Amino acid sequence: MNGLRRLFAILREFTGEVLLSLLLGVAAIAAGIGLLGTSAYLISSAALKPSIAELQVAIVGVRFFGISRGVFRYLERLVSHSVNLRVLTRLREDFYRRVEPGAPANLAAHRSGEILDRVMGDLETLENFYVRVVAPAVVALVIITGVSFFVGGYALRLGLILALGLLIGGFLHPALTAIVSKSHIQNLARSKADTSARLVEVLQGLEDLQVYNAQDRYFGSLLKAFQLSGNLQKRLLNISVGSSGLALLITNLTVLTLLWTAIPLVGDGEFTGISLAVITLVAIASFEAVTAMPAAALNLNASAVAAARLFSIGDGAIRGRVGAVTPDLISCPELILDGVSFTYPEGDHAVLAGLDFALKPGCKIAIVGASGAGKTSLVNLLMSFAQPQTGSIRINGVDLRDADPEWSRSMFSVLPQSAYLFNDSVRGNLLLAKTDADDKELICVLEEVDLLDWYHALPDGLDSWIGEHGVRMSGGERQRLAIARLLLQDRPFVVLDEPTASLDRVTARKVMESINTRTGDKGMLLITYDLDLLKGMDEILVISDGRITQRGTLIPLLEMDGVFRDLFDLENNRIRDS
Amino acid sequence: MRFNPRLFTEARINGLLFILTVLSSFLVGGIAVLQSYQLSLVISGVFIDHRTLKEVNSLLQLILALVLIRVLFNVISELLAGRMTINIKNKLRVELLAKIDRLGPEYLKNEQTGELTTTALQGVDALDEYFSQYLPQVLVSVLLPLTILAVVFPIDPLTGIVFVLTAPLIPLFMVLIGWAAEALTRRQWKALTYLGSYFLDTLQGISTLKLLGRSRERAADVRQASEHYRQTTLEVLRVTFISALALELIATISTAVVAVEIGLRLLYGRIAFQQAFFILLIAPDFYLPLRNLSARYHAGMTGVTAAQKIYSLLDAPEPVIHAVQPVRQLDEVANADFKISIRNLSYSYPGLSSHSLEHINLEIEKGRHYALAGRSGSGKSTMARILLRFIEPDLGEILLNGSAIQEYSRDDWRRFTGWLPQNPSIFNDTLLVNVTLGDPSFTINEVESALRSAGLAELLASLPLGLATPLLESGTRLSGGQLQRLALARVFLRQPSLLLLDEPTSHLDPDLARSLDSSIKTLMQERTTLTIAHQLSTIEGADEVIFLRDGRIAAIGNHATLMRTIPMYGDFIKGEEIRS
Repeated sequence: MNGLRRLFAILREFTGEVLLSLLLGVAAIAAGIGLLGTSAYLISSAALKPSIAELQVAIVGVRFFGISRGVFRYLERLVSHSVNLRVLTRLREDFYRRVEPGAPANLAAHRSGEILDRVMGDLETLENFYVRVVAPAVVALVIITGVSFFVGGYALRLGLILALGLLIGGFLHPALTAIVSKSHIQNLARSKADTSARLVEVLQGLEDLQVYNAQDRYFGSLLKAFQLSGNLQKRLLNISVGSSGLALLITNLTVLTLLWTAIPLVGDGEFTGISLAVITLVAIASFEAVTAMPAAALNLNASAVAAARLFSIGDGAIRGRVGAVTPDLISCPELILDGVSFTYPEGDHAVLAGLDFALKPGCKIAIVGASGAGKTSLVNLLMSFAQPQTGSIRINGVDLRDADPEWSRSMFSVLPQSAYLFNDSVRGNLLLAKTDADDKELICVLEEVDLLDWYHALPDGLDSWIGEHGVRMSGGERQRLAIARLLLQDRPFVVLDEPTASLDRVTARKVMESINTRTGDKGMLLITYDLDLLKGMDEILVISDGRITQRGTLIPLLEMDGVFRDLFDLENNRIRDS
Repeated sequence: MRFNPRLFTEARINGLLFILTVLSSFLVGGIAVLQSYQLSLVISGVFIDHRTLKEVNSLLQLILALVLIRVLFNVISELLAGRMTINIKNKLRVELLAKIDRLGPEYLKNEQTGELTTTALQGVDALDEYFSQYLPQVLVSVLLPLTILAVVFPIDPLTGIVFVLTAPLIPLFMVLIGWAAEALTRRQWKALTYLGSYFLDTLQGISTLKLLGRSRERAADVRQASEHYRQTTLEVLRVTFISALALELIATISTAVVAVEIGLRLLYGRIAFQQAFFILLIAPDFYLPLRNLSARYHAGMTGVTAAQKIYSLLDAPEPVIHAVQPVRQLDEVANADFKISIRNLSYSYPGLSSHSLEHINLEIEKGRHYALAGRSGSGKSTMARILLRFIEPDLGEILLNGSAIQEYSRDDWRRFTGWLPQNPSIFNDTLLVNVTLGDPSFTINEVESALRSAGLAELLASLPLGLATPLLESGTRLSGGQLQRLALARVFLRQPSLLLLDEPTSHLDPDLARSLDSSIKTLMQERTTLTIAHQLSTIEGADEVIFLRDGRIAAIGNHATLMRTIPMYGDFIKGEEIRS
């Protein structure tokens, strides 16, 4: 429930708009009730054949309510959606601010994208919290109170009957329905998630399945899962059908009970037949106020779950230490790794075990190792995305553990293995690296990575959109745009994770030359297999099983027996066919 | 309007169920009219004729009975509609799965798995409201107002005329304003999608933002983009909501007009109170189905959009032709001498003008090892996929001992062939099932021996539950090398006569790579193999290298000969740009 309290806290920030929307919501329903009430009054008064002047007020009332209802409803929808979108903005910003310090570790999951999918789904549920839960409940309460007082004004008993009927229909019945269906909804959600995971698995593995004629068995088990899901849906259907039947029954029974109680009162002269007509129609119309309540009850459930889940992300994350050291900019920084070991929280063996090396300005170190040897973890440690369990990483004597992570990261220009390109223009993507770069500089850097021809073919030059994750570009173009972004940065150290992996040999040479020209005076850490690149290195570190097993320059390493030579025999055996 | 004839057909196939659904929801409305009539009798009796409760009690009891019947039909109609929907959804899913099977992995390669899953699951679920609410509502919104008209006209023609004149305005305005809203949405579309996806894009790229030192200040951008999104959305909503406003206005103003009109005629004694009150009661009911229809308009649109995706998948052209009836049994040939002849084979991928394979002629003889070499895009994997019958050649034929391979059933053919992919799939199931893929005909001994041959004896021994160990849950993670071996075990278990391999290219540990190599060599022994080669040693060890270039066979021969005689081949092996 703590999550819901935070939601209400957000709503309080927009009290003005929230109140306006509630007021309009009440007004819209009140106008509907008013329309039928005044119409009933008009007709029944007219039946007694008074002078037309006596009917004027009622006629004006009918016209007023007839027009105002739609207008109120229209305004109410606009204002409440505005509240929705404001809540969405706040939720997103809050979430981002909460999660950012611990990212990307707190957003990582077993299956990629799983957490983000859930976050987006939860945000969507919570975004509608106001319109689907709060507004209907408040409006219903206000209308129930108002209508009951109005009818109670004729006779207390009648007011009580109507209030009771509306409360049962609007609160008790929806709450019971929500409770009864809760477990079924959870089961269905689980069954759907399971089916979806299985379907993905079968689709991704269809090639293997078909090769071995196993597809029928797997499709068969999927069909069974669909069947199960269908059965759960049928059970839920039964509940919802029963519930809507019950709602209809409650409405009509309330009206009938009112009639049974009111008719004798007319005979007793407590009030006139005109009033009987008015009371009947007002009662019928007032049930409009509770029609949204069953859905609201279900949404309340879903919102509580979503809020609990969403607000828990980031709460347990590694935060940037408050008051952490931010050393002055240093002219000649040196990076030292001293016995660095790292094990993933859920892992059972060390990914890195006692890594030692030093990187000075102008010095170039290469890291070579089979996949899974711990190279990516090393980059993550340097970026302060994780921390070594033992040993230390220091820049000019400052342990990265004590430094502000933002400062540590500002020491490195990094090209990760899969650099992310944003759904933005070419310019937008490049300016992230250097906000004040002008067009000339951007085009210059594009030329350095051999993207000039590509740039000239763009429809809108630097303003051309590259699409989601850069879908409009080829793999090699994406890699080179990421390298261009890197070249715009001017930081003491450069870390490159297989920069030439998706490039052909000629382009690779050209791009690497540009990188070297730009970063000649910086310390460079290069993760690669490319023999061409290893030639110019000051030191090559061979990592296997998280340890440095060999180190030295290219020629001596090639002459030595060991992992490095094996790797290179393998690499030389590989045909470069991309 | 928002109507899809094929969706309607789905409903019609459920024949009786659909008719009953519409009928019962029509009855619900009909009974409501009757109920209003009785209610008007009660009120008028008490008010005008000064009847007592005792005198109108039977009428009230009748109303109670009507209420109960109405509730009953309401339950029936919703239950039927819901059941029908679940049936239709299930049927569509069965069709979709069968279709995906026929389309095969070739089709999936060009589609995003995520999107297909969405179509088959959420897409089909989106039809829920379409069938259970929208479609019945379309018919009810025609039937019920007509019935009410039929009741009202004899009682009060003037009101009937008001009804007739105002009712068509509702769909008319809906369409007109719908167009305007659609145009506006289209205009704002780019801004809306960009701003809408901005947050997700930011979260996905958060580590890159951190590397660039931009992640902290991005929080303000997130707020700005969100705020901008709010304003743009509200602009669109201002127009979109007008259609609802128009509907509301027509319905309420018409009710008001009717109320005033019958009120005045009552005043001059031209109509009886009971009739007037009855008309007042059912006036909202007259507009209700039309308003409901517009409220469900969105559900209808969502359903139709989802249906488009579903049917475009169901209508996708299938790559493998199954029309030829299998006429031969493959087992007889499998052990005998066989020869595969590829004659003048050409293939181009749908939508691509250039050929992926062109005029391929090749003989594959039993017991020999063939290596497919060439740059990426030269047609190596297309060749393998044709031999695996994932795709059907456009021209030419493949003969097994002189008869076209289509004369064998797909299942038979795939028992004859084996495939070792680069990235084998692993399933969230036990080790046993991951090897047998659910085929119960293999014995435990056979499976264990296949695992041993594939070099997984150690892994098997280390697993506490042995073959019954679930592979993805409980932390049992296979390394890249072990995954390759699992795929090897699958092949060892089945002992195919013709083996196709795609050599792994990832940077494996040298020790691992060596031992994997030797397992593969064992598997290849005395078997006919065709390898998509990425390693020099494989090419050197092959009896024949098939050098592909731009979809044509540029040369065939053993490696040494090709190196000597074909300069282009030498360039390719050295990784240089190929001189043409």
